[in-house]
Parts: sequence; structure tokens; C-alpha cells
Amino acid sequence: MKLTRQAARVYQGSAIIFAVSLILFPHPALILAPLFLMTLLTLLAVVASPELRKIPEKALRASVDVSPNPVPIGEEVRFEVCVELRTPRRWRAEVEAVFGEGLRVLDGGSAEGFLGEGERLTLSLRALGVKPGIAGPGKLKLVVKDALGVLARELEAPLPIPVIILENLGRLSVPPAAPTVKAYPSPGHVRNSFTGSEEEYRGSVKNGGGQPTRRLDWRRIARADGWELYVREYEKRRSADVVFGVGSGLNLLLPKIGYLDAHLIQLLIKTALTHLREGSRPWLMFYREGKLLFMRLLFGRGELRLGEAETPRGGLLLHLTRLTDPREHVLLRDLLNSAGFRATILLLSLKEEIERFLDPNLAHRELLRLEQAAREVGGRCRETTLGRLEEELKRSLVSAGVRV
Amino acid sequence: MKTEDILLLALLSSPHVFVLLQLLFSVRESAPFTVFGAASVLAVVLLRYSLEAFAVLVAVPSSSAFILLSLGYPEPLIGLAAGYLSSLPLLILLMAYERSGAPGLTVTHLSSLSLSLLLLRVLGGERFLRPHQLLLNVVPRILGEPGTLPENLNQLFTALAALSAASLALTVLNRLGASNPLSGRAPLVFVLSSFVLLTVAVASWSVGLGGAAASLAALLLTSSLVAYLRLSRD
Repeated sequence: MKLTRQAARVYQGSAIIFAVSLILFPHPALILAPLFLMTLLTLLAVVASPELRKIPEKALRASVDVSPNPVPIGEEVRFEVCVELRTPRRWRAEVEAVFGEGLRVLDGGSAEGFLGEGERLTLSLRALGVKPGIAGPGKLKLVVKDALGVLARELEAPLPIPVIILENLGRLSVPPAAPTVKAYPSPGHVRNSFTGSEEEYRGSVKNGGGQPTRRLDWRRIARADGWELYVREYEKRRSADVVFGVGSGLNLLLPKIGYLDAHLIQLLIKTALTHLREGSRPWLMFYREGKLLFMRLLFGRGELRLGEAETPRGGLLLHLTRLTDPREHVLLRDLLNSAGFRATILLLSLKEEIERFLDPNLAHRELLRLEQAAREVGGRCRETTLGRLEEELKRSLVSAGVRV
Repeated sequence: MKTEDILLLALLSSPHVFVLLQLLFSVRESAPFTVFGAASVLAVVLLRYSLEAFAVLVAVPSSSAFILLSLGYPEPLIGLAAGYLSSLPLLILLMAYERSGAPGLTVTHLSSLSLSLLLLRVLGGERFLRPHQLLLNVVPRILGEPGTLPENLNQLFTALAALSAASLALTVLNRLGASNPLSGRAPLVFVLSSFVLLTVAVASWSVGLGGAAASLAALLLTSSLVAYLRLSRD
């Protein structure tokens, strides 16, 4: 709880004038007038605080729509942030959206209005992608003021959608290479998993009988002159959630490559679009400051975009990381222990880059560190380098049984 | 402007108006120039800085006064300058009222009160002044010479300053965004604040250590506010 900016300045101004008057013009009128204002503000703050304190932390809700996402560097991203305060009373409030590095807010970063009693505030802001990589997640700062505008309480809510800023989005216009099913033209376009539905004809096999009549392959039986019984078999469409993770230690600027995390995300998305079969659902997972954030990667109507933050129940996880943050080890261990995920952790070794640009001794230590971290995490870890990464991603997808 | 805003502005500017009137009624010789000087700058502000008003009310008279000065008649210029000086506190307040937010208005008003008091002390116990005396007497007051202030003027100025402070508080709350500054428990807080001030004033009067009592009160206020806000952290 604090005084509002304006009230604090009034208090400061009064205090300064009070001090100056006391020294230079010690007249009761000049001393008592600022003292009156200071007293008034203090008592008003004391009176207003109990009601403001009653607002629960969880009363603040925010939903965010980001478009486009991913965005090429130097282009605008538009955010529509809808803020709601679930309280029975109406409050005057100021909202401000704050982002980390990578995004520069152009306009609309803050708004003022009323919240509570079903009223909402919408923040329409434009930002510019200035640095390749993952910008955010940002946060929403809400200042709720009392009726007289003297006291304010600050609430915060995360804006859980990171914005991916890529150097060249044109390189991502990759059509799906796998055969197309007409109804589902693009990977990730469909939300349903279709688990268990049998829809793709695989072949007809000889059968001893006892099958439903509708599954009999009459043509094949006819070709066998009716002496053998054949039934049709279908492929089962499986749930194909494929999560591409980007872990810690990748926020680096490398010669010739540029920003490493942006380069890797670009590669991951390109691989995802090229090698996933229709009906598969690609996800992106980011490790940020002790948290894992999941988002659907949607491709449809000619654009690539990130869906809202949600967590998949399971699927194949390909996690690319250097495991530099111990908190990530714990989170990955938990994820690997959960039944739903089949994970392959790709440990990116920068041995060659370190040898080339830094010190060969450090390269050896980097390898040892990676091995040690891999032991801590457990699970299926593979070491890879930047040069082999694309091939390693494809191989991991194949060996994990994703239909490519 | 609403009626209550006009009333608040009238109360806010009452000490300055009082000092201005005192000065204008005391000036003898070149009194028309002094009155015109004071009225003209105030009119320019009230007419929202219109270029025509500035040209007619300020630029032409002051240029004429300079021409008269060069011809050997300094009185008009001195009279105008005395008028400008007399209206300065009110002028500053009106400009801040129109253009500044709550903090700006607070600082400006409290500073202009000091300026008004200084001008009142320039007048001192003398019943009549010449414009050049008004200008010359300002310098020693600025340099720290207290001057004499008749008790009746002092009491009247203090009472008007108290009213003005209450009006300033309401105006500030309005500008902080309060739709109705006297809603809820605010009137009780106003009464309580006045009571605290009265206690400080009576205590300082009875003990004779006004400055020390006020300093102690300010220190207690600020430290208790900081401590309370820290304790009631979200």
C-alpha cells in the first residue's frame, strides 16, 4: 500500500514548503498550512487502507490476445489486454503492461478507468520487436485507488504469453511435406486429438471370421474366389502432441548466428512444420525464470501463430537446452516423472564454439558440466551440436514414433 | 466553472486579494498606474492570455511608460512596476490554478502565501506608501529584515490563510480525482486534522516554542505515515 503518485507529491511539496517556511518565514500561517495538508493526507490514508486491503490478490484477472505471434524483428505486435477485477465494489484503477527486453512499447502501454462490479478495462497496445528471441512473459501492473485518490494498492498479474521475435519470418513459410488429409490441411490446425478413431485404410488381411460384416473386403474376397475371408484394417489416429522445448542457457549472442535462442526457435518451428504429419499438434515450451510455459503452435489461414497458454496432458517432448539453471533440472525431472510425456532432452553442446572463440579448456569443462547436469535430470538425454541439430531433431522425431 | 469551484477559488485566493487590496489602498502618487498595472496583468490571465489583451493591457502601457521615462517622467513606470509586484502572488496562484495539477498547485499556493506575507510586511505599519517606497522596501524584507506587521493585519491574514488552506485541501482532493471530497468519512478526517493543528498551535503558543512543536508534529506525522504504510503492505 502506498500513497498515489500525485498525493505523494503533494505531501512532499507540503513538507518542503513547511521546512523552508520554518527556517525563512516562521509565521503561523505559513507553517500550519502545509502541516494541515500533511495531517489530512496521513489521516485519509489511514482511513482508506482497510477497504483497499480487503481486495484479494486473486481478484485481478487478465486475458491477452497477441497478434501476430511470432513476429519478424522490426515489425509491430498488437496486444489486446482485457483486465477484470472481481470485487463487489467499483474502484478507480490504472493499468500498465510491462514487458521484458525484446519489445519496445510504442503506445497504449497504460490505461485508466474503473474496475469492479463487472466493469472491465481494455488495454490496446502496440509494441515493436527489437531483439530476436523470446520477449516476455510480461506482467500487468494494476494500481487500485481509493475513492479520494489518496491511497493506492498495487496488484500484479502475469501476462503469460511470450512473444517470439524472429529475424526472418519468411523462411518459415514451409508447406507440410507429409501427405495431406483434406479435412485437416495443416499441422496444429485441429484441436481434437481423434484418439482411437479408425479412419485411414491400411490394408486387408486374411481373417478366420467373426468380424462385423461392414469390415469385410468383398472385392478381395471375390479375387480369392470366395474361398478366403478378408477384412479391412484401418490406421488408428493417435494423439500426437509434440512439444518443442527451449530451455536455459540459450540466451547468447554468437558470431555468424546472432541471437542463439531466436535461431533455435526458428529451427524448431521450421522442423515442426516440415516434418509433422497433419493432425499432429505441435507445442512450444519455454523455460523462463523457474517456470515452464506451454503454448500451442497454430498454423492455419496462411499464418503461423501461438495459441493461449495451456498445458498439454502428455505427448512427445523434445527439449533443447544447455541446463544452466538448476531450477530447470527440478522442473524437467518432475515432467519426466509424469506419465504423459515421452521426453528426449537434446543437450546443446557449444564445445566447438567455445573452442573457436574462447578457450579450449573451457570447452572440456562445458562438456563435463553438461554430463553432470544430464545425470541430475535423468531420462533420455542426447548431446548435440549446432551443426548437427537439424538432423538430430528429425532423428528424434522418427525414433520417438511420430509419424513423419 | 461551477459555483462551488468559484467559491473554492475565492477562498483560495482570499489572502492574496487581501494583501493586494491593502497595498493598492496604501499607495499614494501614481496610484492610477499602480492599480492599472495590477489589474492589467490579472486581466490578461483571466482573459486566458489572449494576444490582443496582452497588447492592449500590458505591451502598450509599459512601452508608453518607458517612453515617458526616457522623456524624464519616471513615475508611470514605477507605478506600473509597483502594480505588477503587488499582483504577483495572486497572479502566480491564478496561473497555477488554471494549469497545474494537485502537486503544482500546492507548492505554488504555499509559496505565494510567503510572497503575500512578504508584501504585507513591506507595507509594515505605514498607512501610506509611494510606489518607489514599495519597490525599495522589498529588498530588505527579502534579505531577512522582518519588518513590522500590525496585529490586526496579521490576525486577518492568518485567518484568511487558514480558510485558504482548507480550500486548498478540497481543491487538491478534487484534482486527485475525488468526485466528492466530502463524501464518506472525509469530513470527520477534516475535523480531526483541524483539531490536530489546533492542538499544535495551542501547545506552541503556551510553551512558546512554536517552531519546535511544529517540527515535532511534522516528524511524527511523516514517520507514522511511513510506518503505517509499511505495516499495511499488501
